[in-house]
Amino acid sequence: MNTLVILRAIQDPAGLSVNRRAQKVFINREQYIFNPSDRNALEAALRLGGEVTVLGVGGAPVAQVLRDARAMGAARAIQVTDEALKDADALVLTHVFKRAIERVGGIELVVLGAEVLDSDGAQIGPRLAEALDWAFIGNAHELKVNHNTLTAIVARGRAFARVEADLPAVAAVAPDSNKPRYAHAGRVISIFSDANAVEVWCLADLDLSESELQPVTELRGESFPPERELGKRLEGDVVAQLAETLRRI
Amino acid sequence: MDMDALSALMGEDLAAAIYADIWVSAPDPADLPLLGEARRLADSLGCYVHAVITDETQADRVIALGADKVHVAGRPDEFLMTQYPEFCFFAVNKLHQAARAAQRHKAGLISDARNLRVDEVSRALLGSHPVYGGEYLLDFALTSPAKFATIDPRTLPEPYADPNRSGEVVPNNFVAPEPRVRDLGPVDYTPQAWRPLTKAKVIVSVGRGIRDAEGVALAKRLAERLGAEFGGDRSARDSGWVDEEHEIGLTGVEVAPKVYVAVGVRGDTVHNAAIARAQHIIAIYPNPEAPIFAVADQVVVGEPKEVLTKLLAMLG
Repeated sequence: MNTLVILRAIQDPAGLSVNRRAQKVFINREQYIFNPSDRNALEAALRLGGEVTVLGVGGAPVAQVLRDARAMGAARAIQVTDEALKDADALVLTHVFKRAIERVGGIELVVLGAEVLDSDGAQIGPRLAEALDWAFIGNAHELKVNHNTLTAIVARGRAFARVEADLPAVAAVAPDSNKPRYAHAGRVISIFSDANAVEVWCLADLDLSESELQPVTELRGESFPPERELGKRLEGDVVAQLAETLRRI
Repeated sequence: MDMDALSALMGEDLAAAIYADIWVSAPDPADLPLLGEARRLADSLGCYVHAVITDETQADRVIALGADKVHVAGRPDEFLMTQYPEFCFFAVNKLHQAARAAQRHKAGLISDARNLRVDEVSRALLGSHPVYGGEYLLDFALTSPAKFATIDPRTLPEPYADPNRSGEVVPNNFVAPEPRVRDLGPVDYTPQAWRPLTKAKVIVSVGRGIRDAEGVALAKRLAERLGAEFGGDRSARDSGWVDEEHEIGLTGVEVAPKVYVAVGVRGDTVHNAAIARAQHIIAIYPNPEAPIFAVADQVVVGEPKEVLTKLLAMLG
Protein backbone atom coordinates (compact mmCIF):
# COMPACT_ATOMS: atom_id res chain seq x y z
CA MET A 1 0.00 0.00 0.00
CA ASN A 2 1.58 3.29 -1.11
CA THR A 3 0.27 6.40 0.56
CA LEU A 4 1.21 9.99 -0.14
CA VAL A 5 0.66 12.77 2.36
CA ILE A 6 0.53 16.42 1.34
CA LEU A 7 2.11 18.67 3.96
CA ARG A 8 1.94 22.43 4.31
CA ALA A 9 3.95 24.69 6.58
CA ILE A 10 2.33 27.67 8.25
CA GLN A 11 3.56 30.54 10.36
CA ASP A 12 3.11 29.50 13.98
CA PRO A 13 0.05 31.40 15.27
CA ALA A 14 1.82 31.78 18.63
CA GLY A 15 4.33 34.09 16.92
CA LEU A 16 1.71 36.22 15.24
CA SER A 17 -0.44 39.02 16.52
CA VAL A 18 -3.23 40.89 14.80
CA ASN A 19 -3.86 44.54 15.51
CA ARG A 20 -7.35 45.38 14.35
CA ARG A 21 -6.97 49.08 15.02
CA ALA A 22 -3.77 49.38 12.98
CA GLN A 23 -5.19 46.91 10.41
CA LYS A 24 -1.95 44.99 10.47
CA VAL A 25 -0.65 41.50 11.08
CA PHE A 26 2.57 41.49 13.07
CA ILE A 27 4.89 38.52 12.92
CA ASN A 28 6.75 38.74 16.21
CA ARG A 29 8.62 35.52 15.82
CA GLU A 30 9.03 33.91 12.42
CA GLN A 31 8.64 30.23 13.06
CA TYR A 32 6.99 27.59 10.94
CA ILE A 33 5.04 24.56 12.02
CA PHE A 34 3.02 21.81 10.36
CA ASN A 35 -0.40 22.95 9.32
CA PRO A 36 -2.09 21.24 12.30
CA SER A 37 -4.46 18.93 10.47
CA ASP A 38 -1.72 17.87 8.03
CA ARG A 39 0.08 16.43 11.04
CA ASN A 40 -3.05 14.41 11.83
CA ALA A 41 -3.12 13.33 8.18
CA LEU A 42 0.47 12.10 8.41
CA GLU A 43 -0.32 10.18 11.59
CA ALA A 44 -3.37 8.57 9.96
CA ALA A 45 -1.24 7.54 6.98
CA LEU A 46 1.56 6.11 9.15
CA ARG A 47 -1.00 4.05 11.09
CA LEU A 48 -2.20 2.47 7.85
CA GLY A 49 1.24 0.96 7.36
CA GLY A 50 2.93 0.54 4.00
CA GLU A 51 5.21 3.09 2.44
CA VAL A 52 4.42 6.73 3.16
CA THR A 53 5.73 9.48 0.90
CA VAL A 54 5.35 13.11 1.93
CA LEU A 55 5.05 15.95 -0.56
CA GLY A 56 5.17 19.70 -0.09
CA VAL A 57 5.36 22.79 -2.27
CA GLY A 58 7.40 25.79 -1.17
CA GLY A 59 10.73 26.93 0.19
CA ALA A 60 12.68 26.41 3.40
CA PRO A 61 9.66 26.22 5.78
CA VAL A 62 8.14 23.28 3.93
CA ALA A 63 11.53 21.55 3.67
CA GLN A 64 11.74 21.71 7.46
CA VAL A 65 8.27 20.18 7.84
CA LEU A 66 9.15 17.44 5.33
CA ARG A 67 12.26 16.56 7.35
CA ASP A 68 10.17 16.39 10.52
CA ALA A 69 7.80 14.07 8.70
CA ARG A 70 10.67 11.78 7.73
CA ALA A 71 11.79 11.72 11.35
CA MET A 72 8.24 10.70 12.28
CA GLY A 73 8.44 7.74 9.91
CA ALA A 74 7.80 8.79 6.32
CA ALA A 75 9.94 6.76 3.93
CA ARG A 76 10.41 9.43 1.29
CA ALA A 77 10.03 13.20 1.11
CA ILE A 78 9.66 15.37 -1.97
CA GLN A 79 9.82 19.15 -2.01
CA VAL A 80 8.64 20.94 -5.14
CA THR A 81 10.15 24.37 -5.17
CA ASP A 82 10.28 26.96 -7.92
CA GLU A 83 10.28 30.74 -8.06
CA ALA A 84 7.41 30.52 -10.57
CA LEU A 85 5.14 29.00 -7.89
CA LYS A 86 5.26 32.03 -5.62
CA ASP A 87 1.79 33.20 -6.75
CA ALA A 88 0.32 29.73 -7.14
CA ASP A 89 -3.33 29.45 -6.14
CA ALA A 90 -5.40 26.35 -5.32
CA LEU A 91 -5.96 25.59 -9.02
CA VAL A 92 -2.25 25.71 -9.86
CA LEU A 93 -1.22 23.83 -6.72
CA THR A 94 -3.73 21.11 -7.60
CA HIS A 95 -2.07 20.71 -11.00
CA VAL A 96 1.38 20.59 -9.36
CA PHE A 97 0.31 18.00 -6.79
CA LYS A 98 -1.43 15.90 -9.43
CA ARG A 99 1.62 15.80 -11.67
CA ALA A 100 3.96 15.11 -8.76
CA ILE A 101 1.73 12.21 -7.64
CA GLU A 102 1.79 10.81 -11.16
CA ARG A 103 5.56 11.16 -11.26
CA VAL A 104 5.99 9.34 -7.94
CA GLY A 105 3.82 6.58 -9.40
CA GLY A 106 1.97 3.71 -7.74
CA ILE A 107 0.17 5.91 -5.18
CA GLU A 108 -3.20 4.47 -4.17
CA LEU A 109 -4.17 6.89 -1.43
CA VAL A 110 -3.51 10.59 -0.93
CA VAL A 111 -4.07 11.98 2.56
CA LEU A 112 -4.03 15.61 3.63
CA GLY A 113 -5.42 17.86 6.34
CA ALA A 114 -9.04 18.96 6.09
CA GLU A 115 -8.26 22.49 7.28
CA VAL A 116 -5.52 24.93 6.39
CA LEU A 117 -5.02 27.66 8.95
CA ASP A 118 -3.25 30.33 6.93
CA SER A 119 -4.83 30.18 3.47
CA ASP A 120 -7.85 29.06 1.49
CA GLY A 121 -6.26 25.62 1.10
CA ALA A 122 -8.99 23.29 2.34
CA GLN A 123 -10.31 23.15 -1.22
CA ILE A 124 -7.19 21.39 -2.50
CA GLY A 125 -8.25 17.89 -1.37
CA PRO A 126 -11.52 17.75 -3.32
CA ARG A 127 -9.93 19.59 -6.26
CA LEU A 128 -7.16 17.00 -6.40
CA ALA A 129 -9.67 14.14 -6.29
CA GLU A 130 -11.49 15.70 -9.23
CA ALA A 131 -8.26 16.32 -11.18
CA LEU A 132 -7.10 12.73 -10.62
CA ASP A 133 -10.64 11.40 -11.11
CA TRP A 134 -10.45 9.60 -7.76
CA ALA A 135 -12.97 9.28 -4.93
CA PHE A 136 -12.87 11.90 -2.16
CA ILE A 137 -13.63 11.45 1.53
CA GLY A 138 -13.67 14.62 3.63
CA ASN A 139 -13.49 15.24 7.37
CA ALA A 140 -12.17 11.76 8.07
CA HIS A 141 -11.41 10.71 11.64
CA GLU A 142 -10.17 7.17 11.20
CA LEU A 143 -8.93 5.49 8.04
CA LYS A 144 -8.80 1.78 7.34
CA VAL A 145 -7.80 0.00 4.18
CA ASN A 146 -9.05 -3.47 3.42
CA HIS A 147 -7.87 -4.94 0.10
CA ASN A 148 -8.96 -2.28 -2.34
CA THR A 149 -11.44 -0.44 -0.15
CA LEU A 150 -10.91 2.60 2.03
CA THR A 151 -13.23 2.87 5.03
CA ALA A 152 -13.42 6.03 7.10
CA ILE A 153 -15.31 7.46 10.01
CA VAL A 154 -16.38 10.96 9.06
CA ALA A 155 -17.77 13.83 11.10
CA ARG A 156 -21.23 15.09 10.18
CA GLY A 157 -21.80 18.05 12.44
CA ARG A 158 -21.35 16.58 15.90
CA ALA A 159 -22.27 13.04 14.90
CA PHE A 160 -20.22 10.45 13.05
CA ALA A 161 -20.90 8.15 10.13
CA ARG A 162 -18.98 5.39 8.37
CA VAL A 163 -18.30 5.66 4.64
CA GLU A 164 -16.30 3.63 2.16
CA ALA A 165 -14.81 4.12 -1.28
CA ASP A 166 -12.73 2.09 -3.68
CA LEU A 167 -9.08 3.02 -4.06
CA PRO A 168 -7.48 5.08 -5.44
CA ALA A 169 -8.86 7.86 -3.27
CA VAL A 170 -8.09 11.19 -1.64
CA ALA A 171 -8.95 11.58 2.06
CA ALA A 172 -8.94 14.81 4.06
CA VAL A 173 -8.28 14.20 7.75
CA ALA A 174 -10.02 16.31 10.39
CA PRO A 175 -7.95 18.31 12.87
CA ASP A 176 -7.51 16.66 16.29
CA SER A 177 -8.75 13.33 14.95
CA ASN A 178 -5.73 11.49 16.33
CA LYS A 179 -2.69 12.06 18.49
CA PRO A 180 0.33 12.51 16.22
CA ARG A 181 3.42 10.58 17.30
CA TYR A 182 6.68 12.26 18.29
CA ALA A 183 9.63 11.93 15.99
CA HIS A 184 12.01 9.13 16.90
CA ALA A 185 15.15 10.66 18.42
CA GLY A 186 17.53 8.44 16.49
CA ARG A 187 15.76 9.20 13.24
CA VAL A 188 15.85 12.94 13.96
CA ILE A 189 19.64 12.83 14.13
CA SER A 190 20.09 10.67 11.06
CA ILE A 191 17.54 12.59 8.96
CA PHE A 192 18.91 15.99 9.93
CA SER A 193 22.47 14.97 9.15
CA ASP A 194 21.42 13.53 5.79
CA ALA A 195 21.59 16.23 3.14
CA ASN A 196 19.44 14.10 0.83
CA ALA A 197 16.62 13.39 3.25
CA VAL A 198 14.33 15.53 1.12
CA GLU A 199 14.37 15.21 -2.65
CA VAL A 200 14.03 18.56 -4.37
CA TRP A 201 12.07 18.83 -7.60
CA CYS A 202 11.57 21.91 -9.69
CA LEU A 203 8.79 22.71 -12.14
CA ALA A 204 10.80 21.48 -15.09
CA ASP A 205 10.61 17.98 -13.59
CA LEU A 206 6.82 18.06 -13.70
CA ASP A 207 6.23 19.00 -17.32
CA LEU A 208 3.22 21.26 -16.75
CA SER A 209 1.74 23.39 -19.51
CA GLU A 210 1.66 27.17 -19.28
CA SER A 211 -2.12 27.22 -18.86
CA GLU A 212 -1.90 24.78 -15.96
CA LEU A 213 0.44 27.22 -14.21
CA GLN A 214 -1.80 30.25 -14.72
CA PRO A 215 -3.39 31.29 -11.41
CA VAL A 216 -6.98 32.56 -11.42
CA THR A 217 -6.99 33.81 -7.84
CA GLU A 218 -5.30 37.07 -6.99
CA LEU A 219 -4.48 38.01 -3.40
CA ARG A 220 -5.43 41.67 -3.04
CA GLY A 221 -4.62 42.22 0.61
CA GLU A 222 -5.93 41.62 4.07
CA SER A 223 -8.96 42.85 5.93
CA PHE A 224 -9.85 42.78 9.58
CA PRO A 225 -12.89 42.15 11.70
CA PRO A 226 -14.23 45.28 13.39
CA GLU A 227 -12.39 46.37 16.49
CA ARG A 228 -13.84 44.93 19.67
CA GLU A 229 -15.65 47.31 21.94
CA LEU A 230 -15.41 45.79 25.41
CA GLY A 231 -17.72 46.29 28.35
CA LYS A 232 -20.71 47.19 26.19
CA ARG A 233 -23.83 46.87 28.33
CA LEU A 234 -26.84 45.67 26.36
CA GLU A 235 -29.98 47.78 26.64
CA GLY A 236 -33.60 47.07 25.78
CA ASP A 237 -34.56 43.49 25.06
CA VAL A 238 -31.21 41.99 26.07
CA VAL A 239 -32.34 38.39 25.73
CA ALA A 240 -33.40 38.91 22.11
CA GLN A 241 -30.00 40.45 21.34
CA LEU A 242 -28.19 37.51 22.92
CA ALA A 243 -30.39 35.06 21.04
CA GLU A 244 -29.54 36.85 17.79
CA THR A 245 -25.79 36.55 18.45
CA LEU A 246 -26.08 32.92 19.47
CA ARG A 247 -28.18 31.95 16.47
CA ARG A 248 -25.34 33.03 14.19
CA ILE A 249 -22.78 30.64 15.62
CA MET B 1 -17.63 19.60 -22.54
CA ASP B 2 -14.99 21.09 -20.29
CA MET B 3 -13.17 24.38 -20.53
CA ASP B 4 -10.12 22.98 -22.36
CA ALA B 5 -12.20 21.40 -25.10
CA LEU B 6 -14.26 24.56 -25.49
CA SER B 7 -11.17 26.75 -25.69
CA ALA B 8 -9.67 24.50 -28.32
CA LEU B 9 -12.88 24.64 -30.31
CA MET B 10 -13.67 28.34 -30.22
CA GLY B 11 -10.79 30.25 -28.66
CA GLU B 12 -10.46 31.35 -25.08
CA ASP B 13 -12.50 34.58 -25.24
CA LEU B 14 -15.55 32.98 -26.77
CA ALA B 15 -15.34 30.04 -24.41
CA ALA B 16 -15.29 32.46 -21.48
CA ALA B 17 -18.35 34.27 -22.85
CA ILE B 18 -20.43 31.11 -22.58
CA TYR B 19 -20.29 31.38 -18.81
CA ALA B 20 -23.27 33.41 -17.65
CA ASP B 21 -25.52 34.19 -14.71
CA ILE B 22 -25.41 33.39 -11.02
CA TRP B 23 -26.08 29.79 -10.01
CA VAL B 24 -26.92 28.67 -6.51
CA SER B 25 -26.75 25.11 -5.26
CA ALA B 26 -29.53 24.89 -2.66
CA PRO B 27 -30.35 21.26 -1.87
CA ASP B 28 -31.06 21.94 1.83
CA PRO B 29 -33.63 24.36 3.29
CA ALA B 30 -30.76 25.82 5.36
CA ASP B 31 -29.05 26.91 2.11
CA LEU B 32 -31.91 29.20 1.04
CA PRO B 33 -30.42 32.49 2.35
CA LEU B 34 -27.84 32.11 -0.45
CA LEU B 35 -30.61 33.03 -2.89
CA GLY B 36 -30.97 36.45 -1.27
CA GLU B 37 -27.23 37.04 -1.71
CA ALA B 38 -27.37 35.87 -5.34
CA ARG B 39 -30.39 38.12 -6.01
CA ARG B 40 -28.56 41.13 -4.58
CA LEU B 41 -25.57 40.59 -6.92
CA ALA B 42 -27.78 39.72 -9.90
CA ASP B 43 -29.75 42.94 -9.55
CA SER B 44 -26.57 45.01 -9.73
CA LEU B 45 -25.18 42.97 -12.66
CA GLY B 46 -28.47 42.55 -14.53
CA CYS B 47 -28.31 38.80 -14.91
CA TYR B 48 -30.42 35.78 -13.99
CA VAL B 49 -30.33 33.71 -10.82
CA HIS B 50 -30.50 29.95 -11.32
CA ALA B 51 -31.29 27.71 -8.38
CA VAL B 52 -30.31 24.04 -8.42
CA ILE B 53 -32.45 22.04 -6.02
CA THR B 54 -33.10 18.37 -5.37
CA ASP B 55 -36.76 18.57 -4.36
CA GLU B 56 -39.17 19.80 -7.02
CA THR B 57 -41.76 20.88 -4.43
CA GLN B 58 -39.35 23.63 -3.31
CA ALA B 59 -39.47 25.33 -6.74
CA ASP B 60 -42.11 27.94 -5.81
CA ARG B 61 -40.24 28.78 -2.65
CA VAL B 62 -36.89 29.40 -4.39
CA ILE B 63 -38.63 31.49 -7.07
CA ALA B 64 -40.23 33.63 -4.35
CA LEU B 65 -36.80 34.05 -2.76
CA GLY B 66 -35.21 35.33 -5.96
CA ALA B 67 -34.56 32.54 -8.48
CA ASP B 68 -35.46 33.21 -12.11
CA LYS B 69 -34.77 29.69 -13.30
CA VAL B 70 -35.00 26.50 -11.30
CA HIS B 71 -33.26 23.23 -12.11
CA VAL B 72 -34.08 20.01 -10.33
CA ALA B 73 -31.17 17.58 -10.21
CA GLY B 74 -30.28 14.70 -7.91
CA ARG B 75 -26.74 15.92 -7.34
CA PRO B 76 -26.38 19.69 -7.78
CA ASP B 77 -22.57 19.57 -7.93
CA GLU B 78 -22.55 17.01 -10.74
CA PHE B 79 -25.28 18.94 -12.55
CA LEU B 80 -23.30 22.18 -12.26
CA MET B 81 -20.32 20.50 -13.90
CA THR B 82 -22.45 20.23 -17.04
CA GLN B 83 -23.55 23.89 -16.97
CA TYR B 84 -21.68 27.17 -17.54
CA PRO B 85 -22.11 29.32 -14.43
CA GLU B 86 -20.31 32.67 -14.39
CA PHE B 87 -20.80 32.84 -10.62
CA CYS B 88 -21.65 29.80 -8.57
CA PHE B 89 -22.46 29.63 -4.85
CA PHE B 90 -22.60 26.68 -2.47
CA ALA B 91 -23.28 26.56 1.26
CA VAL B 92 -20.11 26.48 3.33
CA ASN B 93 -20.67 22.88 4.48
CA LYS B 94 -20.58 21.68 0.86
CA LEU B 95 -17.00 22.78 0.21
CA HIS B 96 -16.00 19.49 -1.34
CA GLN B 97 -18.84 19.63 -3.88
CA ALA B 98 -18.01 23.25 -4.71
CA ALA B 99 -14.28 22.52 -5.03
CA ARG B 100 -14.82 19.53 -7.33
CA ALA B 101 -17.12 21.55 -9.60
CA ALA B 102 -14.68 24.49 -9.55
CA GLN B 103 -11.81 22.23 -10.53
CA ARG B 104 -13.86 20.84 -13.43
CA HIS B 105 -14.44 24.39 -14.68
CA LYS B 106 -10.79 25.40 -14.03
CA ALA B 107 -12.32 28.04 -11.78
CA GLY B 108 -11.21 29.94 -8.72
CA LEU B 109 -13.02 29.36 -5.44
CA ILE B 110 -13.24 31.45 -2.29
CA SER B 111 -14.37 29.27 0.60
CA ASP B 112 -16.32 30.63 3.56
CA ALA B 113 -16.47 33.89 1.60
CA ARG B 114 -17.38 37.17 3.27
CA ASN B 115 -18.19 40.53 1.75
CA LEU B 116 -18.79 39.23 -1.79
CA ARG B 117 -19.04 41.70 -4.64
CA VAL B 118 -18.37 41.83 -8.35
CA ASP B 119 -16.05 44.19 -10.19
CA GLU B 120 -18.41 45.27 -12.93
CA VAL B 121 -15.67 46.09 -15.43
CA SER B 122 -13.50 42.99 -15.19
CA ARG B 123 -16.36 40.77 -13.87
CA ALA B 124 -13.95 39.51 -11.20
CA LEU B 125 -15.53 38.11 -8.05
CA LEU B 126 -14.14 39.78 -4.93
CA GLY B 127 -14.42 38.31 -1.47
CA SER B 128 -12.58 37.56 1.74
CA HIS B 129 -11.64 34.28 3.41
CA PRO B 130 -10.97 34.16 7.18
CA VAL B 131 -7.62 32.69 8.29
CA TYR B 132 -6.17 31.65 11.66
CA GLY B 133 -9.65 30.92 12.99
CA GLY B 134 -10.98 34.35 11.99
CA GLU B 135 -8.14 36.50 13.36
CA TYR B 136 -8.06 38.29 10.01
CA LEU B 137 -9.18 37.79 6.41
CA LEU B 138 -7.45 37.45 3.06
CA ASP B 139 -9.03 39.46 0.24
CA PHE B 140 -9.18 37.60 -3.06
CA ALA B 141 -10.19 38.43 -6.62
CA LEU B 142 -11.20 35.57 -8.92
CA THR B 143 -10.50 36.10 -12.60
CA SER B 144 -11.45 32.75 -14.18
CA PRO B 145 -14.48 32.55 -16.54
CA ALA B 146 -16.39 30.69 -13.83
CA LYS B 147 -16.08 31.90 -10.25
CA PHE B 148 -17.08 29.84 -7.23
CA ALA B 149 -17.69 30.71 -3.61
CA THR B 150 -18.96 28.89 -0.56
CA ILE B 151 -20.95 31.04 1.84
CA ASP B 152 -22.12 30.41 5.38
CA PRO B 153 -25.91 30.88 5.14
CA ARG B 154 -26.06 31.70 8.85
CA THR B 155 -24.12 34.92 8.23
CA LEU B 156 -26.71 36.11 5.69
CA PRO B 157 -29.97 37.87 6.47
CA GLU B 158 -33.23 35.97 6.03
CA PRO B 159 -34.03 36.54 2.32
CA TYR B 160 -37.10 38.49 1.34
CA ALA B 161 -39.79 36.24 -0.12
CA ASP B 162 -42.07 37.74 -2.76
CA PRO B 163 -44.87 35.27 -3.62
CA ASN B 164 -45.67 37.27 -6.78
CA ARG B 165 -42.24 36.81 -8.34
CA SER B 166 -42.24 34.77 -11.50
CA GLY B 167 -39.74 32.19 -12.59
CA GLU B 168 -39.64 28.95 -14.49
CA VAL B 169 -38.62 25.41 -13.85
CA VAL B 170 -36.21 24.47 -16.60
CA PRO B 171 -36.55 20.77 -17.43
CA ASN B 172 -33.37 18.74 -17.81
CA ASN B 173 -32.57 15.17 -18.63
CA PHE B 174 -29.60 15.05 -16.31
CA VAL B 175 -28.93 11.69 -14.73
CA ALA B 176 -26.74 11.94 -11.65
CA PRO B 177 -23.87 9.45 -11.62
CA GLU B 178 -23.63 7.01 -8.74
CA PRO B 179 -21.63 8.55 -5.88
CA ARG B 180 -18.20 7.02 -5.45
CA VAL B 181 -18.36 7.22 -1.70
CA ARG B 182 -20.84 4.81 -0.15
CA ASP B 183 -22.58 5.73 3.07
CA LEU B 184 -22.65 2.92 5.63
CA GLY B 185 -24.72 4.80 8.21
CA PRO B 186 -24.11 6.52 11.55
CA VAL B 187 -21.64 5.17 14.11
CA ASP B 188 -21.04 5.82 17.75
CA TYR B 189 -17.54 7.21 17.92
CA THR B 190 -15.42 9.36 20.22
CA PRO B 191 -12.27 10.80 18.67
CA GLN B 192 -9.10 9.78 20.50
CA ALA B 193 -7.43 13.13 20.82
CA TRP B 194 -10.58 14.94 21.87
CA ARG B 195 -9.60 18.02 23.83
CA PRO B 196 -13.02 19.53 24.22
CA LEU B 197 -12.22 22.81 25.92
CA THR B 198 -8.94 23.93 24.41
CA LYS B 199 -10.20 23.32 20.87
CA ALA B 200 -13.86 24.21 21.36
CA LYS B 201 -15.40 26.78 19.02
CA VAL B 202 -18.14 27.69 21.50
CA ILE B 203 -17.98 27.42 25.28
CA VAL B 204 -20.59 28.00 27.96
CA SER B 205 -19.02 28.39 31.40
CA VAL B 206 -20.43 28.86 34.86
CA GLY B 207 -19.26 30.38 38.14
CA ARG B 208 -20.65 30.79 41.60
CA GLY B 209 -22.89 33.64 40.44
CA ILE B 210 -25.21 31.03 38.97
CA ARG B 211 -26.12 30.20 42.59
CA ASP B 212 -27.11 26.53 42.54
CA ALA B 213 -27.36 23.23 40.69
CA GLU B 214 -30.60 24.30 39.06
CA GLY B 215 -28.79 27.20 37.40
CA VAL B 216 -25.97 24.86 36.33
CA ALA B 217 -28.53 22.58 34.69
CA LEU B 218 -29.90 25.56 32.73
CA ALA B 219 -26.40 26.49 31.56
CA LYS B 220 -25.80 22.89 30.49
CA ARG B 221 -29.01 23.00 28.48
CA LEU B 222 -27.80 26.17 26.76
CA ALA B 223 -24.49 24.45 25.95
CA GLU B 224 -26.34 21.51 24.46
CA ARG B 225 -28.61 23.79 22.44
CA LEU B 226 -25.59 25.66 21.01
CA GLY B 227 -23.47 22.57 20.44
CA ALA B 228 -21.02 24.13 22.86
CA GLU B 229 -18.61 22.63 25.37
CA PHE B 230 -19.29 23.19 29.05
CA GLY B 231 -16.84 24.48 31.64
CA GLY B 232 -16.53 26.56 34.75
CA ASP B 233 -14.16 28.77 36.70
CA ARG B 234 -12.32 27.97 39.92
CA SER B 235 -15.42 28.64 42.04
CA ALA B 236 -17.45 26.21 39.92
CA ARG B 237 -14.83 23.53 40.47
CA ASP B 238 -14.82 24.23 44.22
CA SER B 239 -18.61 23.85 44.17
CA GLY B 240 -18.24 20.49 42.43
CA TRP B 241 -19.98 21.58 39.22
CA VAL B 242 -17.02 20.90 36.94
CA ASP B 243 -13.93 18.70 37.20
CA GLU B 244 -10.31 19.72 36.85
CA GLU B 245 -10.25 19.18 33.08
CA HIS B 246 -13.14 21.58 32.64
CA GLU B 247 -11.84 24.33 34.85
CA ILE B 248 -11.10 27.44 32.82
CA GLY B 249 -8.34 29.55 34.29
CA LEU B 250 -4.59 29.61 34.63
CA THR B 251 -4.86 26.74 37.13
CA GLY B 252 -7.02 24.79 34.68
CA VAL B 253 -7.13 25.10 30.90
CA GLU B 254 -6.69 28.11 28.63
CA VAL B 255 -9.23 28.42 25.85
CA ALA B 256 -9.60 30.26 22.53
CA PRO B 257 -13.17 29.81 21.31
CA LYS B 258 -15.02 31.91 18.77
CA VAL B 259 -17.76 32.60 21.29
CA TYR B 260 -17.45 32.34 25.06
CA VAL B 261 -20.58 32.63 27.16
CA ALA B 262 -19.79 33.29 30.85
CA VAL B 263 -22.82 32.76 33.05
CA GLY B 264 -22.43 33.84 36.65
CA VAL B 265 -18.66 34.03 36.25
CA ARG B 266 -17.24 36.95 38.21
CA GLY B 267 -14.07 37.11 36.14
CA ASP B 268 -11.03 36.94 38.39
CA THR B 269 -7.66 37.71 36.83
CA VAL B 270 -6.72 34.03 36.55
CA HIS B 271 -9.96 33.34 34.70
CA ASN B 272 -9.85 36.37 32.40
CA ALA B 273 -6.24 35.69 31.41
CA ALA B 274 -7.23 32.19 30.31
CA ILE B 275 -9.94 33.50 27.95
CA ALA B 276 -7.85 36.31 26.45
CA ARG B 277 -7.82 34.62 23.04
CA ALA B 278 -11.60 34.24 22.81
CA GLN B 279 -12.99 36.22 19.89
CA HIS B 280 -16.35 37.16 21.31
CA ILE B 281 -17.30 37.11 24.99
CA ILE B 282 -20.81 37.29 26.38
CA ALA B 283 -21.08 37.84 30.15
CA ILE B 284 -24.16 37.50 32.33
CA TYR B 285 -23.66 38.50 35.98
CA PRO B 286 -25.82 40.18 38.63
CA ASN B 287 -23.25 42.68 39.90
CA PRO B 288 -22.44 45.52 37.43
CA GLU B 289 -18.98 45.93 39.00
CA ALA B 290 -17.85 42.37 38.14
CA PRO B 291 -14.42 42.28 36.45
CA ILE B 292 -15.71 39.90 33.75
CA PHE B 293 -17.53 42.86 32.17
CA ALA B 294 -14.23 44.63 31.39
CA VAL B 295 -13.28 41.87 28.93
CA ALA B 296 -16.75 41.09 27.53
CA ASP B 297 -18.17 42.21 24.18
CA GLN B 298 -21.77 41.85 25.31
CA VAL B 299 -22.65 42.58 28.89
CA VAL B 300 -25.91 41.60 30.57
CA VAL B 301 -26.42 42.71 34.15
CA GLY B 302 -29.02 40.39 35.60
CA GLU B 303 -29.81 37.25 37.51
CA PRO B 304 -28.21 34.44 35.42
CA LYS B 305 -31.02 31.95 36.00
CA GLU B 306 -33.70 34.37 34.82
CA VAL B 307 -31.73 35.39 31.74
CA LEU B 308 -31.00 31.74 30.85
CA THR B 309 -34.62 30.70 31.22
CA LYS B 310 -35.79 33.46 28.86
CA LEU B 311 -32.91 32.83 26.45
CA LEU B 312 -33.63 29.10 26.23
CA ALA B 313 -37.31 29.84 25.58
CA MET B 314 -36.37 32.24 22.80
CA LEU B 315 -33.86 29.89 21.15
CA GLY B 316 -36.47 27.13 21.20
